[in-house]
Amino acid sequence: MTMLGRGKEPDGASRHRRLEAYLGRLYGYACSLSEDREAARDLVQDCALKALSAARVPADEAAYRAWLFRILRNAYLDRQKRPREVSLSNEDLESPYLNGEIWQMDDRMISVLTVRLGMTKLSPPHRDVIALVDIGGFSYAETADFLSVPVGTVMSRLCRARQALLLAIDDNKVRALPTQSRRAVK
Amino acid sequence: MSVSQPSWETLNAYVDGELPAAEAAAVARALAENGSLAGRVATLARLKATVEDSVEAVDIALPAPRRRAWRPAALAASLALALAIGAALYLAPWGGADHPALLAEAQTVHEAWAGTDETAPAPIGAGIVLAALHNAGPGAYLPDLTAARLSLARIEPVTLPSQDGPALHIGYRGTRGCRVSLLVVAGGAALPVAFTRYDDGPARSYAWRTGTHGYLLTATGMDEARLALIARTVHRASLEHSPFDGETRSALAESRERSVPCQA
Repeated sequence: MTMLGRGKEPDGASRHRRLEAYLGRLYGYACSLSEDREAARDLVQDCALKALSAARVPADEAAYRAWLFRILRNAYLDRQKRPREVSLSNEDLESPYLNGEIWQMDDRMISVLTVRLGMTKLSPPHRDVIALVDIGGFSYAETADFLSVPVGTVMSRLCRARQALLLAIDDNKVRALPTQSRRAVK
Repeated sequence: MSVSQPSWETLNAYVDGELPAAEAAAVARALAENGSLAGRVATLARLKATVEDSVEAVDIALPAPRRRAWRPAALAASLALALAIGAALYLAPWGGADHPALLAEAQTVHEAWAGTDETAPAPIGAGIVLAALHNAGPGAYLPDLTAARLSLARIEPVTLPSQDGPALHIGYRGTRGCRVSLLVVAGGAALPVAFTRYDDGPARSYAWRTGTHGYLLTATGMDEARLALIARTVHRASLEHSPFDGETRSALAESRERSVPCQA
């Protein structure tokens, strides 16, 4: 990875501009890790401070993005009482695909709101891989490198994750609300 | 890979642009011949795009590289923005004495909810949201307002004396005491088609009607410019059924930073 040292370092304003372009995606990734909006903001702040104060930063844009995401992920793991890497052996990660069953869903059910709610139902590894690919914009190879797993593992995990997300969105999609919760205005 | 029946992994890789050109072309041919397969790819593409859209705008303050004084142009721009907001507020249509009965009912629903002490409301699952949408009837729009730092706190069907059809009360909570109610009424014939503002004591309401539903957005004690922006955003989104764009999300986030907390 080509790094820019102090001699070639861009000025402070350039560093800010370069970092600002990634703040939205970093925040999206932070939300997928922590599920807490305020904690996610803090994580991005931590990440930004570390990135801005680093002596050397990657020159290549793709490497720079991966570097930022890694700083954020490490900041998250550092904050855990018992730092842990995301487990790769959860049972649901190995579950077979459900062919056909989820395809009867109405695509209109897929909205920002239902996706956001659905993401909260996923296991951390599933949220992680979807966030890296769809929010972070990483390729499969970049995601594999980031997670230190083979590309084939990224593909199968992503497939299961998206299936799980569709099922979470589709779950209980059409059922009447309990009538006892109805309230009359008097 | 079987071209006639690409695997789930292949379809995902196709949507992600990860297939080599020849393989992608083979999948494209299979999609052209198989409508069901094309539907699956459309679902995946929509899912992928919506996950990306689901990232809300956030204002992360970075440490300034150097201190900068206010420049005249920046000051003029700020003043122009403030004047534009003021003018928009002033020029908004106002409801006169002819308030629809539905308005009072919406305010009753809002005040009953705003008076409750929900320090830790139960999380609302996707199933509840979808069931509520189903109950409200085809075409109902339920906005996500997290860009404005308002989170979904309540979704309940309500029975309104002046209405025969189903109605839905959606409550949003802010982090500084704000509560905003949106009433979605099937038909909503009693409401004006045009986006209309009503003042009734401390309560502010905005009402409008789309082809299928009437909407009443109500809040009490909220910064007026912020509420006006939220109402206009929801109004537009209810007509277009589209997620907020980046500019709108930024404006909603900024409106919170510029406004004072809600007054009880």
